[in-house]
Amino acid sequence: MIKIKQDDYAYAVGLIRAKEIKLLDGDRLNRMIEAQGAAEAFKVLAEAEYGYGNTENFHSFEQVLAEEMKKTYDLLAEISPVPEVVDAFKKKHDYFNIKVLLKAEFSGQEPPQILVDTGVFGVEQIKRIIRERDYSELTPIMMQAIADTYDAFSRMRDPQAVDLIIDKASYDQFVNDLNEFDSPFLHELARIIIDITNINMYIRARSLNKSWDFIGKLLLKGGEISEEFYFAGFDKPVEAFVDDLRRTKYGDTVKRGWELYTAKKNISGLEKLLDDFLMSYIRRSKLITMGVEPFIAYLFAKETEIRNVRIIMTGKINGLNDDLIRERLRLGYV
Amino acid sequence: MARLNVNPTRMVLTGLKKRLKTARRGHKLLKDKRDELMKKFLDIVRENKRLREEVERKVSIVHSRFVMARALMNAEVLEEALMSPKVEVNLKASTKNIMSVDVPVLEYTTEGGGEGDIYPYGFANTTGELDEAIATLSELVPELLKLAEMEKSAQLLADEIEKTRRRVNALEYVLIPNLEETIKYIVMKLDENERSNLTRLMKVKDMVLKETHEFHY
Repeated sequence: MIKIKQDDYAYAVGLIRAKEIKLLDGDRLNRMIEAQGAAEAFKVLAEAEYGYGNTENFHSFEQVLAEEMKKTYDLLAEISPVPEVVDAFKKKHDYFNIKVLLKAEFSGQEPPQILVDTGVFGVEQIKRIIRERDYSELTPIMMQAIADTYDAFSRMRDPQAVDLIIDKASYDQFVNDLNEFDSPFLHELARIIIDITNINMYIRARSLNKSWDFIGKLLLKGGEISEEFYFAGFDKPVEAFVDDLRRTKYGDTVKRGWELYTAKKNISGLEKLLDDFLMSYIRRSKLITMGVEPFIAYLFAKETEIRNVRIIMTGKINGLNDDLIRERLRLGYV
Repeated sequence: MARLNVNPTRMVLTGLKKRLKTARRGHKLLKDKRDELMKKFLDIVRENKRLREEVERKVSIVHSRFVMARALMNAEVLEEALMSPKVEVNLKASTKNIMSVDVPVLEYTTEGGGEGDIYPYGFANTTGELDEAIATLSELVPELLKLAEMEKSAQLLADEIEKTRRRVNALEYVLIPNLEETIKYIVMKLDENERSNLTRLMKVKDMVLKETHEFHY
C-alpha cells in the first residue's frame, strides 16, 4: 500500500487550481461550436494556449491535441509528490503502444507513426523492448499479457484477440495500481471506470448479437458489478438487464442511455451518459481542498476537454450541424 | 461515290457481285448485333444507375459514421483499431461473354468474419459508432464490387457498340454504294461494248453487201 498524505499535495493542488481557470468552460466550447468554420473555432484553442504554440493550421489540430495531452502529463509528473499516481494513469498509453507494436509485428508491417509518447516508457524504448523481447522493465501484468497475446495469435490469427487481451490487461493493471494507493477516492474511481466500460461494452456486444463466449472475454474485472450479474442478464433481453441495473448507482444513467438507444438506434448517447456519470464523480473533488483528488480530477478534466475539442473540430471540418456536435459533447469539469 | 479502280470485264463483274452479296449479308448481321448490344447496354446502364445511386447513398452514410467515430476517438486509437483486418477477402476475376464482348465477372469470397464477426478491435477503447461504420461498410463491399463489374461492362459494351456502329456505317454508306456503282459502271461499259460491236458488225455487213452488189453490176 502506497501512502498518500494529503498535505504533500498542497503545492500541486495550488498550481492545479490556478490551471483549472484556463480550462475551456461551456461558454468557450459554445464559441467554438458557433464559430464560422474550423479555422475560426481553432482560434479559441490558440487563445487557450493549447499545445506548444503550433496553432497556425487547423488541419494539424490532432497534433495540437496530442501535444496538449503530453503537456498535461508532463505537468502532473513534475508536480506529483507520489510519482506512481501519474504512472498509474500513463500506463494505458504503454499498453496502447504494445498493442500497436504487436499488431504490426503479427501483420508484418512497419510500426506505423501512431505510437504515443505519453506512456511510462518512451516510444523508442517500448519499440526496443518489444523488438528485442527484453521484458525485464515491464510490469508482471504486461509481461503476462504479451505472452498471452503471442500464444493466442499463433493459435487463432485473430487481430481482435490482441486487442481483447491487451485491453483487459491494461484495465487490470489500472485497477491493481489504483488499489495500491491508500485512497478511497482512487479505489472508487477504478471501480466506476471498470463498471461503465463493462456496461457499455456489454450493451454494445448484445446489440451486435455476440455470444457469451465473446462477452466473457470482453468484461473487465474489478468493478462493483460482478461478472455473474452480466451472465445472469445474458439470457434475458437487454431491457431486463437495464432494469436489473436500477438498484445500482448506474441505474438511472443506463436507463436513459437505453431509451436513447432504442429511440435512435445509436449507442453514442449511452456512451456519452456513462462518460458524464464518471465526470460527475470526478467533479466532487472540486470541494476537496487538498489531496490527490483535485490532482487526478485535472487529468480527467483535460482528457474530457480534449475529447470535446476533438468532437467540435472534427465536426467543424466535416461540416456537421451544431446539434449533432452538441449532443455528443461530454460533460466538462468546469 | 467513288468507283473502284478495276478493269470492266465480265470476270471482275462476277467477283464484285459476290462481294456485294457478302457485304449486304455482313451489314445485316452487324446491324442485328448492334441492336442487340444496344439492348443489353441499356439494361446494364439502367441497373448501373440504380446501383450507383444506392452505393453512393451508402458510402455517404459510411462516411458520416466514420466522421462520428473519428470525432469520438483519438486518431491513433482509431488507426490502431483498424490496423489489421479480421476478414480476408479473396477476389477472383474472370470474364463472361456478352455478344462476343468479354466483360469482367468479379467473384468474392471472405475468409473469417462468420456470424457478423467482422470487428477487428476490442470494445474497451473504441466507440459504438465505429461498429456501425464497419457494419455498413461491410454490407457495402459486395455492392461496390458489383458496381465495378457493371461499370466496366458498360464501358466495354459501349466501345464495342461504337466499333460495330462504325463498321455498319462503313458498309452501309461506303462499301455497298461503291460496289453498286462499280457494278453499274461495268455493266454499262459491257453493254456499250456490246452495242459498239453490234454497230460495227452491221456496218461491216453493209459494206460486204454493198461490195457484192457492185460486183454484180
